[in-house]
Order: sequence, then structure tokens, then C-alpha cells
Amino acid sequence: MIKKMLSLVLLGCAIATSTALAEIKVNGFASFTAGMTLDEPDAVAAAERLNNIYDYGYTDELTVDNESLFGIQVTADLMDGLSVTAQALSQGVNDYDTELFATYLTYEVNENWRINAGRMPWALFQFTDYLNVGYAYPWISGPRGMYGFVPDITIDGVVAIYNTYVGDWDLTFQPYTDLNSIFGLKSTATYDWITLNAVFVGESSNVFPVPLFDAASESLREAGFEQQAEDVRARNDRGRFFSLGYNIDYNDWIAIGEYAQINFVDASFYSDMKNYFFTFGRRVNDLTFHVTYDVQNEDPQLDFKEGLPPGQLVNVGGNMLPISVLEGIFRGGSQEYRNITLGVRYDFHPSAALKVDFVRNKTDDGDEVIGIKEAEQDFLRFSVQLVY
Amino acid sequence: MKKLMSIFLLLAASCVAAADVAVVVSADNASAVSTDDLKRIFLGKQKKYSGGDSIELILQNASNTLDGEFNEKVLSRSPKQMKAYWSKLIFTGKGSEPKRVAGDADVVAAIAASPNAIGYVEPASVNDSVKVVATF
Repeated sequence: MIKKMLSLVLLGCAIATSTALAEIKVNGFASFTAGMTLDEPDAVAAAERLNNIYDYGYTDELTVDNESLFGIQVTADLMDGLSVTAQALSQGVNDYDTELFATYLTYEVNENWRINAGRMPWALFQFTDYLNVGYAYPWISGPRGMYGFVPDITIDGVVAIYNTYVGDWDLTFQPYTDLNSIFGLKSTATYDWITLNAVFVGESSNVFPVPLFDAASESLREAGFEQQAEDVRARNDRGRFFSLGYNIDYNDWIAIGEYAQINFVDASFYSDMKNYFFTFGRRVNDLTFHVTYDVQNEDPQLDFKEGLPPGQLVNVGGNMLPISVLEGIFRGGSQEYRNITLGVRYDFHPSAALKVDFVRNKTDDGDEVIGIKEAEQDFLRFSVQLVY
Repeated sequence: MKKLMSIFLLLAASCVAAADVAVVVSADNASAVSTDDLKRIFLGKQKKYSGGDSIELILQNASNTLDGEFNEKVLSRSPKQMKAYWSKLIFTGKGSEPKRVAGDADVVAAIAASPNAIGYVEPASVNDSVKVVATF
């Protein structure tokens, strides 16, 4: 681990020296996180069947690599408003292999406009574009119900950032596109102690094709159910992402929240999602105490059932089976995750914080086939997070 | 005697509160800078002087006491909140952190060398090459 981190630092130095003519800035961030579940092994095994990505990969033994990460960012100022940025990231889950997370060109057009082009952190929701920089927020990682299904992601394309102000409010509009199928706009309004965020992203493409349903779709079409066939087909579907958030820091009181809705148009297989979280916190000198409630709610789309006779047969994996089997598959993906996090952050150094989070996760499974209706799991996590 | 003592203490206290941080620009800089502007300028939101020249921010190292005092008094934020603020801009590609220097002498030297620079120093460090636009 140390060896790999060292190579990352050397990479940073190499970039820095190879462009000695330009002004170079080196910044970085790191999270050293350890965690474990607090449940008996049996309970863990049972809950694991439901939890998959929401358990941070922890078991009942303290593990350090699941969430630890180390990033370094080098920006070379090429003068006249032009600069190049590269961010390298090594994560414990990838055995600390260093990957080039982001590389982009920035052009500061004027006081208001800034254009980034290349591979950049994607501003999908309120915290998505700096989820890896734990130092910048109270929790060890973004609330799981909200951010569990969209980890640190990047977008290849162009982002324009427009800054202006009206009275005492600073406004930022951030339209972006991958020049193909994704169009988004993140808007931010800040007044001294409060920041409001709104994001709308439309994605129209062959984003998540699921060939398994081609046969099911075709069999419905052959039976004369054109609309239902289209609902079942998981190709060329459009996704719509929408989120509203706030971030308040007033007289050492903290309140952060976000509501997001994800809808898939003309698609039945992907569940619509409603995710939200609320955080309240209080800063007392160098300590910040906080509590968070977050939910990910998936709602199966069963539009395709409308107008179909109850016993309609459909091709599932090569066999003609009753439509209820297909419905069972569609329902299977719909679960509700709820997490309560109690945490404390201790700013023991000007650029480093120690955090402890206790998380209680509850999962309700909408699918009765699996047999487990609800599972509960507790986690304890520790982290040292820093920026430089 | 007691009265005299309390007046003296009061005076001393008001002196301390009156001028601990001086915001300075080049003596050649003719732009008017208001207190409201300062907050926006030092948060990197306002990038030009009223006259249209680009602002060059000179901050002091975050470990300096004066940096903490400036953040509290002018920006109403703690140094760690400012650290988080700049981190957010840097790592999302929305901005870059301004130049930081070691202390008052470096701030004065940087401003003397660049007519569009702005920074903050202790009032005692002010010399002819710079002009005080506000004290806190």
C-alpha cells in the first residue's frame, strides 16, 4: 500500500517537474478508513443476501481497505486563463492501483465564465463531484441511501461554469454534456450561510441495455401487445435525474439535506428511485456532532401489466412462462434502504479530521421469493481524512 | 486610581480591537474597494477591481495566526471551514486556490511587485509600497 502511494506521489512530482515552465499547483486528499459490522456472523450472512453494495464490504472483522483512498491533483497554469488538471486516485478496493481519475483542460473566459473540457468529476447530485474528498463534509462518506448507487463518477465532455450574483446571493449555473446523450444543469445559489442546489439531468441513449428482456419483449409483440412489448424492452431507454438540496452552516449549527428522483422513461426493468437524506449537526469547538437519516426507495415499474390477461405467457430465458414470473423479476430489484448515522468529527489539525460514524442500515425487500422481508445491520467506521 | 485604570484598560482594549488585520493593495492601485467587496474578493468570487483590472489574491499560510484572524473577522469562517471551501472548488474543477505565502514580509513584497495584488498583514508591517484599504 505504502509503495503504491509513494509511486503516486512520484507521479505527481514527475508531472510537476516535466512542465517546469508553467506554474504548478499540487493538491491532494486522503481517507484512511476502517470499519466493521457489529452483528453476529450469521446475521451478517443473512443480511448480505439483501444488502450487496450497501454494506461497504465490511464483515465482523475490522477491515481497513474498503473505503481508504488517496488522491493527488496537479494543475499546470498555462497562462492567459488556460490550465490543465490531472487527478490520480488510488483506492483500497482496487488494491491501491493508481488510476487517472480525471484529466481536463480549463479555460477561464472571463470573470463569469469558466469552461472545462475532458474527463471531470460529474456534478450529478449535491456532493457527487467531491465524494472522494471526505474532509469537505461531516460524514465519513456521502449518505449511503442517496449516494450508494452513484459512487465517484466522471463525465467525458464539456462543463461550462457561469458565476454571477444578485444582491447578496451568489449564483452558479453549470450546464454540462457528454456531447452525445447526457445533458445536465446544476444550479447553485449561496447566501452567506446557506447554499441551495438544484440538478436536472436528462440522459437519452442506450444507457443500460438488458438483452435478457429482448425475448420477453418479442414474445409479447408476437402476441399482439405492442405497447407492453415496448415497456418490457430494456434498450434505448431514457433516464431522468432530478435533485434539490440545501446546505446550511449557521452559528455552528449544520443542516444538510437532499431529495432526488430518478425516473426511467419507457422502461420497466429499472426501478424508479426516490432518494433523500437529512443531516443535523452541531459544532462545539473542534468537534462536530451529527445525525443523518437517509433513504433509498426503489419503486418497480409494472406498466407492462396493463391490458395483459393475467395468465399471459411470455418468453423468459427461453421458456414460455406466466407473466407473473416476469413481474417477480421486475419486483425483485425493488428494495428500500434506510440508514441512520450517528457521527462525530474531530478537527485535530488545520487540514485533517478524525471521524467516527455508527450506521444502522435497514433493508426492506419487496420480493417475497427471497423470503427475508427485512434485515438490519450495524456498522462502526473510523476515518482520518485530510486535504493538502 | 481605579477609575483611571479602567479607562486605560478600555482604551487598550479598543486599540486591540480596532486594528489587528490590515487589508492592503499596491500604493499605485487606484481602485476603490469596499468592505462588502472584500468578502467576495477573498472568497474568490469577485475577480476584478471596480476599474476592471484582474485581482491577484495573496493569502497567508493557513497555519498563520493572522490567517485565522482574517478568516474569522472578514469572512466569518474558521480556517478549517475555509480549507473545506477551497478543497471543494479545487477538486470539482470550479476554481483554484490562490497563492499562499509565509508571512507579512512576503505579502508586502508580492504586492510591491504586482500592482493588482491584494493581501492582509499586521498594521505594523505596512510600508510605503502598500496602501491600507480596510482594517479589522
